Amino acid sequence: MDVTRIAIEVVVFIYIASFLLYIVRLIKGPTLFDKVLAVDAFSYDLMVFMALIAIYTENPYMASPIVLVALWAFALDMYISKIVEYGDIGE
Amino acid sequence: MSSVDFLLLVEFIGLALISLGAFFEIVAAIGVLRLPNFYTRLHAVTIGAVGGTALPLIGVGLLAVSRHSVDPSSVYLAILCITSTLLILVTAPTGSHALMRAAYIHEKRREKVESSRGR
Repeated sequence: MDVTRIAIEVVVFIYIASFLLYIVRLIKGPTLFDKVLAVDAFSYDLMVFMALIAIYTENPYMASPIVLVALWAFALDMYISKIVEYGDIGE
Repeated sequence: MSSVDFLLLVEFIGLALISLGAFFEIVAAIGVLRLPNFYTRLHAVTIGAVGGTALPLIGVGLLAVSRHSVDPSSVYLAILCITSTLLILVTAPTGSHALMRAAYIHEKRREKVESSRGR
């Protein structure tokens, strides 16, 4: 049990480090697609982060929005690629 | 094999999956920061989606049901993790493929406009 909590703490710090690297790419990103890609990776990272916090604090209802975050990243991908290929909605 | 040994085995597998996912995630983050091109960065993000998100979510689901007293809230967390793993495995390749196609079409259009302007 103690080993589990220590391992989860280490993994949470690794995920926070990758949050920071994704934020650097989100600020630097040369084109629009790089920024969208960074937001995508950020939301995938956020899902695992919320699940780890839920298992660490033993409060499972803290991990409820991970399905919404996954669908939101997918909607962002589809919306940006649709606008770039075919123009705005209703034209 | 008694039930306590089986629960320890499930917990160990969950911890191994979470640690493997952390390795994939940090590799994907370094790749997104360091790789030179949009398409190579897309490759790194897909590593982060499948290796760094689907594997640790399965691990968290296994870790949630490895307690000695199983109550409904931990089963809720496990079902949530498995559901979002399936969603990720369906939507992440689709979304990255659509984004790559849009970026390619955008680049080709801009090249065509620039070459017609140069003539």
